[in-house]
Amino acid sequence: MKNKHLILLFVPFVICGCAKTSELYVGNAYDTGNFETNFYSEHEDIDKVNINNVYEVNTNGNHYISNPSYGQEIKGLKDEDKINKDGQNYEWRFDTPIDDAEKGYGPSNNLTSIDNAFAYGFLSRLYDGRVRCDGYYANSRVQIDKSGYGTFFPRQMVTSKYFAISLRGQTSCEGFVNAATNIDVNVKFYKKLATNAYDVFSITMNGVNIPSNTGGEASLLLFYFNDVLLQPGISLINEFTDIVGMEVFFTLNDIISSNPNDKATYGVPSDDRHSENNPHFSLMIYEVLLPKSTWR
Amino acid sequence: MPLIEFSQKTNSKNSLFIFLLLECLALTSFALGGNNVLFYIVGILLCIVSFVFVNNRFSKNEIPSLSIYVVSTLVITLFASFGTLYSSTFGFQNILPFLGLNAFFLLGIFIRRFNRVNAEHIILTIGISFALLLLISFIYSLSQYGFFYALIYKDTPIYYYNAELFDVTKETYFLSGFAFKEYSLSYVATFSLIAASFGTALLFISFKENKAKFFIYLGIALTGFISLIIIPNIPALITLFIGYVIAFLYRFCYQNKNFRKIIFYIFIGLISLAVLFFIIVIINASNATALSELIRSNNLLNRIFNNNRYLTYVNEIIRQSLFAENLFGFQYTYSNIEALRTSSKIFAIDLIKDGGLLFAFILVAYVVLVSFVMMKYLRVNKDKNHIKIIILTLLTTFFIHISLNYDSYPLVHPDTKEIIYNYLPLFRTSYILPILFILGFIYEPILLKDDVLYGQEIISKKEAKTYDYVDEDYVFDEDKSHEK
Repeated sequence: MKNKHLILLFVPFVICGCAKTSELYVGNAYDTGNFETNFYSEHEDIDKVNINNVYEVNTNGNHYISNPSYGQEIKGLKDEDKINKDGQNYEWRFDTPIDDAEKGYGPSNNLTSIDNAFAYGFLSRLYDGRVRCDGYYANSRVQIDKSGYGTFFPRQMVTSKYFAISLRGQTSCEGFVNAATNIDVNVKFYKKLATNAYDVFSITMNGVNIPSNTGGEASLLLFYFNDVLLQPGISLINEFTDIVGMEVFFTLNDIISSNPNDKATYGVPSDDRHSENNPHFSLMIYEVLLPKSTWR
Repeated sequence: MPLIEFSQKTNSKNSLFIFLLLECLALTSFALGGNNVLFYIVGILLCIVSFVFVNNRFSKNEIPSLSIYVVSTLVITLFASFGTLYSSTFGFQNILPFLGLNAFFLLGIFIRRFNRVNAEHIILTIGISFALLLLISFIYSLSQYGFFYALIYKDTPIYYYNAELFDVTKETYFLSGFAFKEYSLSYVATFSLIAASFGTALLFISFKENKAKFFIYLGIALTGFISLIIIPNIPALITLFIGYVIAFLYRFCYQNKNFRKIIFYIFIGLISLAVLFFIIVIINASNATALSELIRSNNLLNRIFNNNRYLTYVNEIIRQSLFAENLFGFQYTYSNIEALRTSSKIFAIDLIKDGGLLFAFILVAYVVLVSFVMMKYLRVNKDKNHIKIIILTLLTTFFIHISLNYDSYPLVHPDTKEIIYNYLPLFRTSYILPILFILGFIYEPILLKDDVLYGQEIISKKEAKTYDYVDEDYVFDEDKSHEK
């Protein structure tokens, strides 16, 4: 019987879930000051799950992108989503987390403010409410190439009204200042089924125009799930629940610099970080938002 | 007969009051979310009631000693409560802490004058509460960080929270109210060191003769020790080691008068050196004297007074404190931001931000005064040796810790980035209340000679009879059989 007490010795080892140490980095991970070493391409094995069904959906132009200046509206937002509790319009340029809550669009709609579980981990950069970079918030962005990134959410999404992502382009070479950049963006949402398999909602936005090499200025790209998952021939909106993770990919179609000599001088930027003959192009993502979503 | 009834009533009131006090101490030591406002109020009420009980139990002879000790504490708490940073406006938020801090200090003094007070119960109440708080916290921490995480992850220590970088090896979870929050290691170590100090009692308690008592003290100490070792918190463990060395010296050498003399002279020497060093640091920090030039021109002196991890921050704080507007605590202005963000790790220097340079000088003087009271307590008080050694180790490790590893911004993830709202000066922490209580508890009339013993000798026999204050009523168990 005495041996039973020995079991108590192992209690501390059993409770060692070590949640806090599951994702640790060196001090300057993905923020080295060297463009080539800052690509984030983790998918947390979400790309290796057992897939049951893939729903391929195109927004067919039902997406909006804008970079409003002070006092201007964010394109595409429905009236009820433009305003805070006091009925005043959200301001795109108020973007300090917490302090600008209920004033700025980002700090009022970010995922961390919906559920604090999003505050932990490297990708908390995408959930903190800093929707743009004014040169001060460099640690708020995630830099990806065409292989994208993926993640499991810390909670399971039950409902969501619309999706928004704050982004801009950036090249590894000089030039291409404020270059008009055309990309296709693909967002995959993973729904967990009772069978432990996953359905994938793969939503593609073609021909999205974003500025590159802006010195930090980012734009907000958004679409409403109702507009995208409820189209002629598509009725997926009721299926869109129990979302446990997502992936983001993009393809660079073209980059047009105001200086026609840039391509000749610096080369044609490639969205593949492993390309050896071209300068590299990356998508800088500042924020991923699922405003008014519910989680469990 | 009426006298007997009165006496019985008084005794039952005494018992009830002591029970209430122990409850208050237990909850205060357990911190209960660091909600000091509640404890301030309870402490003030208990202090008023206890004053009614014991106000006539002080001899006229000890009034000068008592006045020096009480007035010094009043001055310290006055500076601490009316600081410019933590609460920049004058009002309830200053007055209540001022009264509350003093209430706990006075309670420590008054409780000694009650009948049927057991010093061991009081010390154990504090110890068990600290240990319970630590036990709950470190079990949760273990589940989040695992064992020895400060060593295991020292090469990849960074985690992200709200897009900002934090060092996992510099934090731990701690129970705050009904939630676990990340606090700095040095803040939580204060609680650990207090609990671990209880282990020194085992130097005076025989395992064979009193197993229960032995295990209680061992349990408290182990909780404190384990909470440090599972991280491991090396600076705190070193501090604990120094505390235990002092305890060993007390246990095995204290009876030797020559040893006591040597310790006294060493203490005086260290204090003198510290004061001299402090004065040079202030003159140097002003940056405008010949001495500053001399220090800068000499490599060794420059390294000692300018380029090291302590003095760089100390100089920044002192430099700002010399401006006229900061003489009694820093104003929250743009020019002060860097100094405000700076944490010197030395409590006396850090509190300059809140109370000004004069406050630091007074704090140093107060530490000297407490040291003399402590020496007197060790010499003449009738507390059992294992109580004395706990208090000695506890206060010593506490002092060393806050002198080398004090953290005035302990919360790792505060609700706001405004540093002013995250500043937690020493005298607003939850652990300062039990510490002030202990400072009162060790009170001895330092101006009276040692041969005038505590208690019946101070109060005349006539007074003792009048107030039912006789030595027998002190339930300081004189049975030495449990001691080595």
